Amino acid sequence: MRQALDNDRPLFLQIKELIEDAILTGELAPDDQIPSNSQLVSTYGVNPVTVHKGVSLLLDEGIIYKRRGIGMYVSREAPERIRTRYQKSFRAEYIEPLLERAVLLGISIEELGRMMGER
Amino acid sequence: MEREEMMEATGCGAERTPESTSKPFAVNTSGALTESASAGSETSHTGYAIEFTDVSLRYPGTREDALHKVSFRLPCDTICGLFGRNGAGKTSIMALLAGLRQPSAGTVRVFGQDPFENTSIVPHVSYIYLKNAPDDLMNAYKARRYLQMGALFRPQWDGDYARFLLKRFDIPEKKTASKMSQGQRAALRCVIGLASRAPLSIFDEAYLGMDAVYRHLFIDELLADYLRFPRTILFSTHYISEMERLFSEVLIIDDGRVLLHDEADTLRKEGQSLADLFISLTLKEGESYDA
Repeated sequence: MRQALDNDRPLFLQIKELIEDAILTGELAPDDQIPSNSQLVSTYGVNPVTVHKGVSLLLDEGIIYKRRGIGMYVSREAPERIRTRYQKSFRAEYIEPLLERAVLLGISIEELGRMMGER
Repeated sequence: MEREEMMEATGCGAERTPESTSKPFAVNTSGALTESASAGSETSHTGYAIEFTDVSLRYPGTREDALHKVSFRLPCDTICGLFGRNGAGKTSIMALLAGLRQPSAGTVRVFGQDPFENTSIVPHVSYIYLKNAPDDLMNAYKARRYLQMGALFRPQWDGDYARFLLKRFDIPEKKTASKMSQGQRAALRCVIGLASRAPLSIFDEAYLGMDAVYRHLFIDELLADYLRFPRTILFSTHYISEMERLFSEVLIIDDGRVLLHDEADTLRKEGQSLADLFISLTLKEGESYDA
């Protein structure tokens, strides 16, 4: 999982996103147990209330489910659900800044396309 | 199970911490404080560890209030960061909580009671502040002696934990505090603060003089022990960016007044850390600051 958190973004969102990212990369598969709240607290050195807030959001969105007394697990629908949500913001978050930068640097759309094709 | 009795006795269980349900703090037991807190008197417990109502404090021989009509409440089992510039009134607030001073006006309540010289409250409030001069009277003893004192005066004292912490900070039990390095002395005080497990634990710039490794060790230990034994922690610091993840609440004071009190997650916005916020709020006219 991602290592460092930034202080200038809500920490509970970052906790939520780092678990989502681990689900997207497959590091956490459906029905895998996610790290416990206390593990997250000690790994990232954040307040337990903050961790709880991030994990609760995942629970509310059905990304994870709870097994009473055992822990939180990745739901079967999680990867698809996360993908769909991030696809919606992909253009605004990644494409627009990329195009803006490309224009600044005088890189044409065709050139940009070639670069992407090379990957 | 003394410490659990106390957690219950003060009315400060672990409701606010996420994994509290699995913790055994909800057991009701009788104790001196339980009786006074549940007797239905006006001072009975309200779910707040700290309540300041219009508190003013003026030191003898001065013409201005060090604190002016300060009001705030802190729920049980929160870790609150207390931020303020030099002379803003942080230490005055903490000294009032520790029962060392009486307000000139207004009321201070700790677990529902007036803490001033109150023997049923004072043992449950640990106040750790910088006392770093090697020749200070408090630094005349060997580390082991402070641990013995902790066992005497702190009802929730955990001696095994204290010795474990001394090892983690590399402090020999037989070393005299005045012969320790600054960082070791600060660490020793923090060890006492942690092992006291006081339901209200106050750290006033307590880790000043510790190097970065020690500071991180301290934060790790504080969080780990807080998970095991939730308690109310008030923590003043000038190292806001280093410490800000620790806090669930933030209280910012300036010039003896409350500027802001809110949840840390509400204040920390996109592109604005708590440290940024603090600076923008307390920068005086004509001052500049480059991050």
